[in-house]
Formats: sequence, structure tokens, C-alpha cells
Amino acid sequence: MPDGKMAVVLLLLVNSALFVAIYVSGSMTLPDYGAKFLPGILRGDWYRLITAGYLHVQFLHILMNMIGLFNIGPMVEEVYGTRRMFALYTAATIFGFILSAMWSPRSFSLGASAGIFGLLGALIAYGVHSKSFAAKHLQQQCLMNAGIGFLMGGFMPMIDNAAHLGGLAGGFVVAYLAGLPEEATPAKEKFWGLAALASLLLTLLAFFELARRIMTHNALAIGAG
Amino acid sequence: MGAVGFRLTKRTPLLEWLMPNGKMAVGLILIVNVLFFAVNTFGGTRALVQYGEKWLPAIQNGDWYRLITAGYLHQGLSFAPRTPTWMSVVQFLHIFLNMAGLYNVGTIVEEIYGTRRMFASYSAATLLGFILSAMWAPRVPSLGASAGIFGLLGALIAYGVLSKSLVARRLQTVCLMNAGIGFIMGGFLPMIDNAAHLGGLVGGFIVAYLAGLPGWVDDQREKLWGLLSLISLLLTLAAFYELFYRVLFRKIPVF
Repeated sequence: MPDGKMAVVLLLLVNSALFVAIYVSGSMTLPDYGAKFLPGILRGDWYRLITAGYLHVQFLHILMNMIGLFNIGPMVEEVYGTRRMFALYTAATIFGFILSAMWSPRSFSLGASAGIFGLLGALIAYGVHSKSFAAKHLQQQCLMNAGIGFLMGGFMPMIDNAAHLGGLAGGFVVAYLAGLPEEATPAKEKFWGLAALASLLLTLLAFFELARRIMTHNALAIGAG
Repeated sequence: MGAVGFRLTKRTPLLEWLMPNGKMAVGLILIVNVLFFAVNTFGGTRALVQYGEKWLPAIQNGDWYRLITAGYLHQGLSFAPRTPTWMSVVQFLHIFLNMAGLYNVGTIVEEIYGTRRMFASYSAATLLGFILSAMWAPRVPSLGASAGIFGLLGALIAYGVLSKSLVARRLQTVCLMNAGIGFIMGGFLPMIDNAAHLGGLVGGFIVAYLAGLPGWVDDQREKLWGLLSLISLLLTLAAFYELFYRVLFRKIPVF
């Protein structure tokens, strides 16, 4: 994978592997237990806010998301570094699905798009941090593509615009707070290393929790499948 | 002319607000495509599509213009009763993905190669794409801007060959990867004209490679590509004249 970076490659692999697992098994257990679904979250399935960002059911859905991740992710990871990138990706996913749960409390949704809109938000924040011509150009391109995404979401059915908006805002805010790695003090660098580690542990814990709920049938299954 | 390839054009605030990073040719192609899509959706007739899409029997019958007009037409949404929703979703995705690709790739190509070379390679890519598509699938009609957009990808791949800079190299790998993604997507999904994509990619690459970058070429070549883009424009206009003539006066029966 040319231009590939570690976090982007791992995210691509995890998303694709989970899609293949769902597709090959033909079972909706993973989406049932792992998608964003407010009644389940209120009952105590907190992990859904994270695992929903790694699950896909439709081919077109994962294809679009992975194209976006491949095209935007390496740039964000190059500009912000792996630590900040993973922290803001996780924050964008959580924030996106929180907003989505508030916006449409009764419907379930899943997909990596909240995190990918977070990556767009991060590149928009890069245009605020850096006054270079390339950063400004990239910022405009990302604003335009976020607009294109909302336009598409407005016209087409089954698209979770609230998750997109929350992801965009979450990614922008975290990237703006994080700043660029080359301007950071060692203390700040350490903080964002810890934040990335915390995000990783939280994600692993969420997936552990998802596996445990599936094993013990201890979750409010959506019953979509 | 110096060694620097970038020439920044003056922008109006309105255009800047409507389309950031936008360029003239990309903006015009976008508007033309969207207008035809709107006509096909709300015009209440499929005549433009029927007379303008690539279809080998009609091309052999003398409709040469179809090879060009097919690159600017997309099927309209159908609001007829009992039309399945997925059909409208597919038609909407078709124009939408093409226009998003045109905006994202086209602005970069027009910035690097300039409007003349960009339009010449876009037209050549469309033409070559639909010729290959007509050879590959003689009985199947097809249409859409994707041949030209794959030509833009090919032009950026040629940029990585022409320029050895880090930016050009990275752009080249990203474009190769996206062309690969496009072919994988075309291989898995139905109703996608992979031959037109391939022909467009090759055509755009060849024309952009022959054209070279503006900035280190002499005035003679600059004039040549000005002339070639003018010929492309005239050919496109002539093709649309033919199309409107057929649509308005129905000289050739459809099917």
C-alpha cells in the first residue's frame, strides 16, 4: 500500500475484516450487538458508541468509507502523526454517534463515516493552524468535500447526517486542541501519546465488551437480521 | 516563461465562494453535466439519453457524435410510479460520484497542466474510452463522465512521470491506487463500464504525457496545445449541435 501509514492501515484492515466476517457468516449478530442504538446504550451498552464505527453491512457502504479513509487518512497521519490521528479518529467516532443518538433516538446506525468526517475536520483545523498555501488549499478542498457529503446525505436515504456532523465537529475540535506535532512541547507530546493510548485501550475494551455481550447474550439486540 | 509550473489565476469572490479551488474548465464541465442531468430528470423525456449515449449500432449508422456527448450525459432520476428506489439511488450515485471525482481530480489537473491541456486530454480520454467501450461491449449502451475522469487520473499519473518531485510522486501513487479502487469497484458492482474507464485512463495518460507540463515548454508547443484544445472544443460543440439536431428533428429512428 503506497503512502500507507500504520493507523490508517490498521483501521482499514479491522473494518474490512469485520465486514468480511459479517458478510461470510451471513449473521447479523455483530451489527445487532454492536451498532449505535439508543435504547441499548441507555441500558448500559456504552461500547456501542465505539464498535459501531468499525462495523459495516453493505458493500457500497464499506467501499465508500474505505476509499475516504485511504484518501484522507494518510494525509492526516502525515500531518498530525499517528498519536493525534488515532485520538481524534476515536473522539470523532464517539462524538458522532452521541450526536446521532440524540438526533435519531429510535433508529440504529453504524459505519466508519463519523471517524472519516473527523479526519476531514482535522484537515480543516490544519488550515487554521498553518497559514501555508498547501494547508489553505487542503482546507478548502476538505470543506467542499464535507459539503458534498452533506449534500449527498440530504438527497439519499439511509444516511446518518448527524453522525457525520458530530464526527466533523469532534475531529475539528480535537485536532485544533492538539495542534501540530512539530510545534509541540515535550509535555504536550506526552499528553497526546497518553490520549492515543487511552483511545486504543478504550477501543479494545469496547470490542472485548462486545464479545462478552455476544457470548452471554447480554445486550439489547436490535433484531434487524 | 520561468521554471515554475504554477500560474495563479485571478478569482472573483463569488466564484471563490461557490467553488473553492475551482477552475474554469472544471466548473464549465460540472455545470454542463449537472444541467443535462437536470434536463433528463425534469424534462419529461429520455430523448437526450436515447440519442446521445454510446451505442455501437447507432454509431455505425453515422452517429459519430455519440462518442463525445455520452461523456456529458447521465441518466435522470425517474419519478414514474412503481420505479424501484434503488434505480434512483444508482442514477443519483452515478452523477454524484462522477461530479465529486471531477471536482477533486479536475481542479488539480487544471492547476498543473493548465486549461488547454486539461480540456484536450479530457476530450481525448472521453473519446478513447467510449471507442474502447464500443469495441468491448458492442450491443450495450452506456454513458457518463467517468471516462474523462479516469483520463484526469491518467493525466496525474503522467505528471508523476514528467516531474520527479515528491508531490508529483505521491500524487501518482494516490491516483494509481484510486484507479485500482475504481476497477475493483467496477469488477464487483453491476452496470459499470470498465472498458470506458480503461480507455479513458490510457487516453488521458497518453495525451498528458505528450502535452508535457506548461512552464518548461517553448511557445511553439504552447500554441500547438492551444490549437488542440480549440479543436476539442469545436468538436464537442459540433457533437452537441448534431445531438440537438437529431433530438429536435428526429432524423434517425431510435431502436
